Amino acid sequence: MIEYIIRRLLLLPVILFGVTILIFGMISFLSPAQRAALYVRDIPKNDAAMDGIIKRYGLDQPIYVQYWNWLVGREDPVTGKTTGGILRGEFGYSRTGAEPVGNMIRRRFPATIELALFAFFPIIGIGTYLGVIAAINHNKPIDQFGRIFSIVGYSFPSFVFGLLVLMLFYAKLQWFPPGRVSDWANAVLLSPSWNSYTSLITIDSLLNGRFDIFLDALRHMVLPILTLSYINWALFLRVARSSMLETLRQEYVTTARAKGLKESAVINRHALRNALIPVTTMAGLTVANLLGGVVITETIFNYPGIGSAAAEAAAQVDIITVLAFTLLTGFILIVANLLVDLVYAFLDPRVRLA
Amino acid sequence: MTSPATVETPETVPGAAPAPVGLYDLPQRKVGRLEERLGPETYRIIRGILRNPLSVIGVILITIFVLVALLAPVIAPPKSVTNPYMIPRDGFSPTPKEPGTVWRTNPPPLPFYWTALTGKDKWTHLFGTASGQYDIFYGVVWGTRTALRVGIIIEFFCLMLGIFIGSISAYYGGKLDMLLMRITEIFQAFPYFLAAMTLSAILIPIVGKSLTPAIIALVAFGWMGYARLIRGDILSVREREYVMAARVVGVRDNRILIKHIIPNAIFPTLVVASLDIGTIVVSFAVLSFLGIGTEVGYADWGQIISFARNWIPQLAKYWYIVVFPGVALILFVLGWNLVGDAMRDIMDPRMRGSGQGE
Repeated sequence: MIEYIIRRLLLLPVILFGVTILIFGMISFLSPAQRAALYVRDIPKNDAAMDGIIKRYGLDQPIYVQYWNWLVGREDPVTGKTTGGILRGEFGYSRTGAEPVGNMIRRRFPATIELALFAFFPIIGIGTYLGVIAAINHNKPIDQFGRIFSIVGYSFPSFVFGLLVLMLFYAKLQWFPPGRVSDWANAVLLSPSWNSYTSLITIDSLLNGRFDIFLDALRHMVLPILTLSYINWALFLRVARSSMLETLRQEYVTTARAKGLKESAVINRHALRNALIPVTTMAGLTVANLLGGVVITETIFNYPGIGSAAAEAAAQVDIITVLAFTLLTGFILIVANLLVDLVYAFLDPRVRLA
Repeated sequence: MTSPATVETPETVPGAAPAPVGLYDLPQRKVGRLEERLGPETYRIIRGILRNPLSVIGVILITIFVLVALLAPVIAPPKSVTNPYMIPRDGFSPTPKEPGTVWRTNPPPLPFYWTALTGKDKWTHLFGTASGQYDIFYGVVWGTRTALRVGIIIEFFCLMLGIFIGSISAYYGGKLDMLLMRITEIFQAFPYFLAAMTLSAILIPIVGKSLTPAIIALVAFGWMGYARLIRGDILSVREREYVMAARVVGVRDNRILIKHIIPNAIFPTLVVASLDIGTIVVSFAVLSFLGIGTEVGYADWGQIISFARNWIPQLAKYWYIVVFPGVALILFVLGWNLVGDAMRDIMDPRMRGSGQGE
């Protein structure tokens, strides 16, 4: 077990290094003028000023020097201050956001976290429940129904699903609007009397004692959560179902039945725990995906998280910004993968002791 | 199917050379002519697919899409022969028009069936128009072509890249394998869609707005699964006796790899790959939906759906912008997934011979 953990941890820097190389590889496709956004807010239009910037930030230097500068920042020969450097949390300047990318991430990330927080439980709880039910009723109508539900679910492109629910629940019925909060609530959020403790509107509104804003924020999240859920239920249904079927075939389950346990006890006490191990790993990766910003869902519902920020930037060819988001999401995914593998090894003695 | 073959023992290898009687006392089953022609594995898969009602629906859906793609010039004759993928426009008004509106300004040629079916001699917007008066019917029909074309091109290059890296990695093993697999892992560490979106956005200023940026981007981040799959299969094939035999008689490395190993290891990868076309087409559609793909007006499902983004509050009125291309996309993916689902059951060795997957 310890050897396994060490091996995985040793691999982590290798992967992270590779990821930065790949990202920087994409950056080196850009023209010096585009790359200058890594260090300066306003890209000068005229050539002479541009040449100055290129010299000043070493954009004409060998690629490995530029890579190093990109990682740790470059000391400005004029002011003596260090600028840039992703390790210092500076990702350059965003043209679409008209602010440093770092600020943009800090401003947008809470919305994504909030959505992930609320989407997590319905996705995993209901998806897994459906899968277990399907497995227990193997080959009965409910299982067949689940199979069709899941095939249709993972065939449904999320942007089409999102637009269809918007068509029904927003354009037609006016129940659930897109965005994060209504205008009146936003006015309250911007007023000086509002205390922002966590930047998560739902939690802040409860702490501020504004239940109406809590409900308003929740109302805006219903459709994104529904979309994310429907797409992911299919996945969890499949994994939970096949894992449960596999477990129910094990001999110890037969033993439990043979000694006369009630079926509910066999399932809840014996089968379910082992069957849920693969679901746990899936759950971990789903959290990572949700935190990494769900580009499509956030864009469709005009939800101001990091996913929609990345999509906007990409559509307007603001590469420095998109790359920062890709780096951030990649980092989240890598760490999540590592954690999931470790948790898996911990939960499953067959892996742990191998 | 023509000849219902009865499997008596699962261990019998169908289609193998008939064993001399008395040597292996295995009951022989009848091998139909079709099975002889196709080979045992392919036959088993095709039979499995045609016996499962869900996958039959999938096959029918795919066939319809292929037909629509092939017959696009007949179903919706293009206005410009040199550039048939540009959706014809009926004026420039930003307000979408309902399905069934008569075509006013320079309509494209009438398709042959129109007057015969309806008795009218004026072409109408069958599916309505989107903002800018792009005809949705043309977009959906020619978009089918785009979808298949893009899916096949991307899939082909992903496979080539995956097979190249996976086979070199598996065959040579050692440090090279280690290096290539780490590189594969690094590519896999990226969030697939975000990475493809980024690369596509980078390439647009370099190669211009067309299908190319999105294709390159989806290939660059789409090959890893195949590389790992074929690597695993090659690792097992590499140890077979005939490879050893070839090596003993002194056949060169790349010849062994190309002539003996890859053909025997490639099949599962090919199947998985061909069924990923549905997913790939969705990724492509999402890219063009977000405006990171083809130029405006190019016949492509994601592109048409993106016109709906300006009309979110009025979607109940302009439903047709989303519904027609959306349904096309859903059915397209569903078709591939239905076949894919059945295929995975058939290919799953645990299901083999149990009669369940067939």
